[in-house]
Amino acid sequence: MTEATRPGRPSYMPPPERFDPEVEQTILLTKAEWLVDWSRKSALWPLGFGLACCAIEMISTAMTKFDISRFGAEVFRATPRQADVMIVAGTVTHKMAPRVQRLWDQMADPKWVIAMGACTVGGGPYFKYGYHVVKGVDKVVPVDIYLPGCPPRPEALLEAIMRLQELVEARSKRLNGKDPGYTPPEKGSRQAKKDGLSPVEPWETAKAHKFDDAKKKTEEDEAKAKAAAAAAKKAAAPAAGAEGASGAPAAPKPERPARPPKPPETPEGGA
Amino acid sequence: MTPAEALRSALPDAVEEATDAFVRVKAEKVVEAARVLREKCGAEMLHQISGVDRPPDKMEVVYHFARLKPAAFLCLKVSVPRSNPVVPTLANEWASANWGERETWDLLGIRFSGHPHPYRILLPEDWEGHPLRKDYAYPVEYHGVDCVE
Amino acid sequence: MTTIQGVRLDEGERAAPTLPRDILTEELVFNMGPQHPSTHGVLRVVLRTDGEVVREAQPLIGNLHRCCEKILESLTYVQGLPYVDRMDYLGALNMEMGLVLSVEKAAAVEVPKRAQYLRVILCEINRVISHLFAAGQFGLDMGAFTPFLYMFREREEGLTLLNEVTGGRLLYHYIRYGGVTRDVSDDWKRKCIAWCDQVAAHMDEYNNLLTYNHIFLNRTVGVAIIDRETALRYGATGPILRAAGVPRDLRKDMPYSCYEDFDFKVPVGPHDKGVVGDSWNRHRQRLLEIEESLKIIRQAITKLPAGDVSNPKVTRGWKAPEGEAYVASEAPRGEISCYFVSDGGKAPYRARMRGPSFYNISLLSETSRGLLIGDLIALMGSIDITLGECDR
Repeated sequence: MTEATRPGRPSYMPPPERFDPEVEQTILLTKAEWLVDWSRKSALWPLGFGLACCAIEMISTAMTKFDISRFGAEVFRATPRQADVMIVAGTVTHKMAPRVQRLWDQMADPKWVIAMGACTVGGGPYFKYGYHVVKGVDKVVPVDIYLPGCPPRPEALLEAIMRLQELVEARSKRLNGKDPGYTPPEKGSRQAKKDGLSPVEPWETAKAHKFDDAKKKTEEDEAKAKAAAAAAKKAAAPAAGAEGASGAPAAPKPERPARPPKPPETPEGGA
Repeated sequence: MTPAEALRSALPDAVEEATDAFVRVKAEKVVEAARVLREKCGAEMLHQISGVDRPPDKMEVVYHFARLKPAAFLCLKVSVPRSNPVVPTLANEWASANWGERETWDLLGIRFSGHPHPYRILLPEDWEGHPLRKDYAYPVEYHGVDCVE
Repeated sequence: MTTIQGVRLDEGERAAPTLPRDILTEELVFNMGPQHPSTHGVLRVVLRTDGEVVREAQPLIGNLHRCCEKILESLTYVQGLPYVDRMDYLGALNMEMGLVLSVEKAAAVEVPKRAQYLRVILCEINRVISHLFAAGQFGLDMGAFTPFLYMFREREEGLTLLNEVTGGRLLYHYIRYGGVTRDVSDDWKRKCIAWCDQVAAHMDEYNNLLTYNHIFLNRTVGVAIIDRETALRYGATGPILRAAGVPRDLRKDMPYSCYEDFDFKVPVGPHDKGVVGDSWNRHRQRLLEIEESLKIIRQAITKLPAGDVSNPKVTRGWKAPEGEAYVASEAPRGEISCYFVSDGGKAPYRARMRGPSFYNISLLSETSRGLLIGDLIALMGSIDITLGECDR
């Protein structure tokens, strides 16, 4: 595994010596870069790298019902040298892993990887007893988009391509240091809702839900009454005598653990 | 004729056990037994070769032959010691045994003497161990890619 | 039968490639796959060619070995069922039948009749969509993109049908020990028969576009002949064997799951063009089998009996008692079987699955001698392999 393929290095981050800072300051590149990024994202050519069952769903996505052609990505190139995005569709085995890496190396920059299917995300159904399965293709190539599913529906693959398009669109902004990383949107904003972030933190749901104290008291009374009845029954059983020790003494109910304290507010920054 | 009758009459000292479902023969005689099945019982295709690991001291190779008319499956079993599992190969007479025996060697470690190409088929050439054995230790790492989840 | 204008071919004759004497050539050894648009998955073929003529082709498999048999031994019975789906992912229900039939025979589990009919219906739908994919992909390998698109139109409708019943488009986990998981509604039955009519109506279109297409005929008639002896020797089964002239279909010869109740023919080569056992015959075989499967589906839906769809004795933690069994069934690509051994434990002791493509691929080395590389593609496309069931 080379330095470039060690997991954790996203492929859209350039190696440090790519851009000459003097060149950046002298030429106004913004509009042209935007045009280049728009054209890149609108014509992402996938490498036809179908390994297993997810390949069939990838083919279905390219067919008329789900039509990947709307996103400009219907041109599945057979050779990695002409491809932009490698959709790893299917289980990667140890025998296949060096070939996956080699294909990724042969792709020209800029290149992206979509890990399609549960097998490529983290080993999938083979994560435990599959000795020959690589538990996630990110052990072999750096992955940009993880797409779970077994197999993911064609609509899910289209969603993955759309997210990749957002990534590609923002590429030059990132390279020029304009967008330092992912800043989370404000809580409750439209962008947050689009990203699927809930406006209420989990530990705040207790406050949000109003417990009815009166109802709680009657529940406590009922529980006490039940315990008293059980004790009375236990007292009556030895008097009956025939059954013997039919019921073991009831174990005390374990107490519900206390709710964890609210974690301190930490600023969320990009990695 | 049923396989049991045919094998008993042709190779009486090779048959170890015979039921309705299978006939167990001695390992050295498996090639002749297969020939008897082909000539006397009409077995035309070797349908499957399975290896079964029976620790602590035995391993089995189970051959299923297919007869076309009337359609049936004829089963031969061979028992070998686990410490030295060697069976003569059927690959020279039955072409479908070629890959089946390679797979049994690959996954279980049963050797087939006289096989024209006795190498691993499913796993990489430098894989260590035979996975379908009951005492297989799962690998921790393979060529720099870690195998634990 | 459609009437296509007569195509004149010198059937069975192919010009042998010749070279002028004063050109020195060398043999080239190179790799085809595992990443290749025509290898139908991760099949690697090492070719030794003399120019365009293949002198030797060695298929190297194992790139998709997903440890299915070891996993079946490690997980419980119900937990292990999804893994056999993934063997032949194009005909997943037939793979499930392969495992479930053996286990049911060993454990003597009764399957209600309605469940058996449902299994038949869904397996045949699966066979139809698998053959549509295979035929379309063969056309794709030969350079015809449009029939693939058209066949996918029917395939998507079939997938919607299966999705409605089983919950999955490609991998179903529907057939369980003792029956199936869910029942079907009358609405679904009506939709299914409508789909059968739709597919039958489009068969003419596929034959016009692809099967009797002049270019396709030129590329596949007389090419890569797999004759009866070769197929039997290598253990090749399914459409390959039937196109080679052997009338073997396990649905008729060793009926399982109430297949004996249905009236259907088994198409056997040679078909109306080409030589017996050539690529065109295998392709035509698949399209004829689609028509027969549609007949079976229609009959099964009309005759669907009432009753349970599963055996209540088989629960989630069910274990098979000690025993062993070997049952084979007819999958789209050949015969799938499982040699199942149980010792009474929570998992099978040995569940040895036979994937038909394992044996179908093995005849590649012998059949490809002397073929042009383009003919090798025709051979691989017409054999119709799926690496999932080859490598398991």
